[in-house]
Amino acid sequence: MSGILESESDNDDSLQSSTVSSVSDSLRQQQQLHQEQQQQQSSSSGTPRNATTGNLVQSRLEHYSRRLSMLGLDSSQEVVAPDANSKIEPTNVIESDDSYEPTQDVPISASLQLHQLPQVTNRAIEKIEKQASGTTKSQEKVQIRFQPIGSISQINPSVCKITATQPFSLVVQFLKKRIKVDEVFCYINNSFAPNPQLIVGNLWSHFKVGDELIVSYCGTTAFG
Amino acid sequence: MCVNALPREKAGTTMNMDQIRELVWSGAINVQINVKQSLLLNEVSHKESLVNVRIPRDTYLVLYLPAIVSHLRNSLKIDPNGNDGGTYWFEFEDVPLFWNYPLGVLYDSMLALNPPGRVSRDTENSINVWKIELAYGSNPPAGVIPLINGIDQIKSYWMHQWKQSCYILNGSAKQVMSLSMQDSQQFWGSILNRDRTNFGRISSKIIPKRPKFIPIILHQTLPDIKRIQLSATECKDDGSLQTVADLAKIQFPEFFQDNQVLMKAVSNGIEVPLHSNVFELYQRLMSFDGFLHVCICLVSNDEYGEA
Repeated sequence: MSGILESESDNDDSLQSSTVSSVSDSLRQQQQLHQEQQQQQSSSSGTPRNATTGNLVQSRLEHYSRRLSMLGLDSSQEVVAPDANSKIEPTNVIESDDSYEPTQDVPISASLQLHQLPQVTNRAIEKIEKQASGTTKSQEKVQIRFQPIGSISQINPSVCKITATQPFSLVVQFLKKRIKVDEVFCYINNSFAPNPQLIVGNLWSHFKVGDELIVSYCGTTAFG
Repeated sequence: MCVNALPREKAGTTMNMDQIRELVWSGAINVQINVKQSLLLNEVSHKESLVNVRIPRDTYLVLYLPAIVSHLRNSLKIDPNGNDGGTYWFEFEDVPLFWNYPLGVLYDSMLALNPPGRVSRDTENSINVWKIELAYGSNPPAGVIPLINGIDQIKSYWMHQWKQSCYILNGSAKQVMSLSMQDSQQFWGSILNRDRTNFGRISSKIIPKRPKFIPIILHQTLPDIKRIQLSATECKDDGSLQTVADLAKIQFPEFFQDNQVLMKAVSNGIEVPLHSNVFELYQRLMSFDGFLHVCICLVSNDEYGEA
């Protein structure tokens, strides 16, 4: 965790010190500053100096909360984000608690056909069903790279892994949780918005660049 | 024939491309929409709780939703102007219909259509009707895209399907993005107004003569319903033409045993030969969303015995 904060504060100009190395340290600093500001306010209110300090503190607090939210501290039910207290790995894993598979049951009238099939087809279907239950257990994963468009916050780390058999809607869900927004627009290769039911593995094999599926995201419509 | 589709005998060499496209474009299905009992006001007669409508195969079912709801407005409990966050969807035998696939594809895949079986049920004095249900609620079943923005949402979804198929065909979405404002308006208009001339004119700007890949969606119909999106090349690595059977063999090797083929490829309500080249089939039978939808259906016991 400290790794992230250090690397972030490095490229952050609004922070006075680049030595903030942990949440507790930075929290203490915020509190100190806040107390100082309150004291100043009570003693000499309305001076120009006070205004600038106030702004500074406010922007720092905002920045701080933004970074906290980036760490994904709150727990989620549908999407399991890695625990912020655990060791940060170079990639994230997108997982869903229930192994939702984008398949549908067959309507009754069509399933009647199953009783009128040649023996050999019945055996083939048994085989397919067995395989299907086997593949849910398989953990083949593909890589996704997230790219923010415009003012939306960046996701860190930007490369995530997801089980190939999951639908794309799970990626969107994960992203929404991660960057704390209600609405996000996702595009593949800066071109099109995929159907949320599409299997990520399918998308990856068609549209990957190198070894990654590039998903750009935006708070508003970006590509029509 | 009520469930209008390509007559199988005529689809051979005697028909030219334009005639086939015309048949695909005008294929239609008789649909009867019954309202779920829980959505009906008390004292509504059976007759007032259903709508019969003939809908083109090659369009989205939801484009007809406003007309259906308006027809039923005096029978429904739902306030048309209310804002309770609910959304409509359709079901067939309690299986939700994903509106984002063409109606004909939904019909073929939900019934695991075996075309000869359908033809034998047709008689002079009866018509085939597909009976589906209209449902409503704030939590649509998993997989159903909630309709929150009416026709604009449908249009936008459709445009993105085209961008995606354009990307597969050409390697980028440029051909769709660079359509003039007038063209893209007319393109969507051609779907709403069933204007095949404009549709053909504008889609030909997107579909190249020599595509990089061909956008195909295979719909597995049994033992469960599953969609597999493919990008197929026109030719195989060895230079020979890629056929429907080639693609199906990779996805469903179990249906190809020794010399026996246990499956059929069904598109637009007709069985297509497994040896058809994928690009030729795409040019003839592609849907209005830029994809070729092929349902994988099974050979019945009777047919198997004959073979």
